[in-house]
Amino acid sequence: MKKEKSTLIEHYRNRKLVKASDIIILSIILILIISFIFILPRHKGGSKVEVYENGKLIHSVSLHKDQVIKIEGKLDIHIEKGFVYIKNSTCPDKLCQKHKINKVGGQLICLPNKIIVKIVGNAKVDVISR
Amino acid sequence: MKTKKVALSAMFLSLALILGVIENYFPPILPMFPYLRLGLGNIVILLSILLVGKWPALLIVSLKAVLPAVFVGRPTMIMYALPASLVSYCLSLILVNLRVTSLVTISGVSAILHNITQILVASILVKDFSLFKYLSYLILLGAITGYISGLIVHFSLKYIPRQLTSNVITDDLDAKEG
Repeated sequence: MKKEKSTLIEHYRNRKLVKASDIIILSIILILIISFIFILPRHKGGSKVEVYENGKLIHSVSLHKDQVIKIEGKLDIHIEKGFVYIKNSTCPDKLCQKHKINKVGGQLICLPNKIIVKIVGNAKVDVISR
Repeated sequence: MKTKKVALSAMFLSLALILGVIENYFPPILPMFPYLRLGLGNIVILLSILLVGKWPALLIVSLKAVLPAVFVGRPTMIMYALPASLVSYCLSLILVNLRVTSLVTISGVSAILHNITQILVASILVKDFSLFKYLSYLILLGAITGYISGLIVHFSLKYIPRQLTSNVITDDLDAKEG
């Protein structure tokens, strides 16, 4: 026993890089990672979509409930699976229809209609500062 | 013989500290976790467990976590660094003595545990557990960095000349332990 103990270094020096036990542990780790990706919620509720017209807040709805907000004569705001986008805008350039937003801080701005759509959240921790 | 061990331990500690400084020049892997580093110090800790024994290695681990905070003058860094280091040290010590897994696996697993402990401590400190939604990324990053440094340990152990790891050191260790 004592003899064996004195060769701890030799044991690892002579050991093969990969054995069955290593493969088993690696696959357990991979399974854990994949299952955590599915188990843990991507968005921790509470994020809201706010719609401003002429700088005034006219709608404040949940990001996680799919719906369509129609603003008469101007545009439709679609909320779908955590994404927000604009359709049927009456503005000439249609720039506001070019992209989708899904994160806190994201904004859709339609200048001709003076509409701003924002995603706001209550994330308490953005960064742990040093 | 004891002198040799003391000198070797001091060398390992300084090596670990230097690696920690070098690590600081790399940008953070994930922007939301500025404390998350490559974990190059892990290499030295695993090597020191094997080459100078568990008690000197424990000292090296603790000092590696405490000294940078003292140098920079931010005592809060200790609260993030020390628990995680100690937990992952214990795990790798147990696994090394079990002799079931390779050094690469040991390094990977202890890096994962290090990350999880760190995020646990951070969550307790800020009293907000929403950080845990990044758990899968933390495990993934810990696995990648840990496995890479484990490979480095594996190959450096293979090519360290035998005179350095000769029975002189380990026999001395055995005499002390037994």
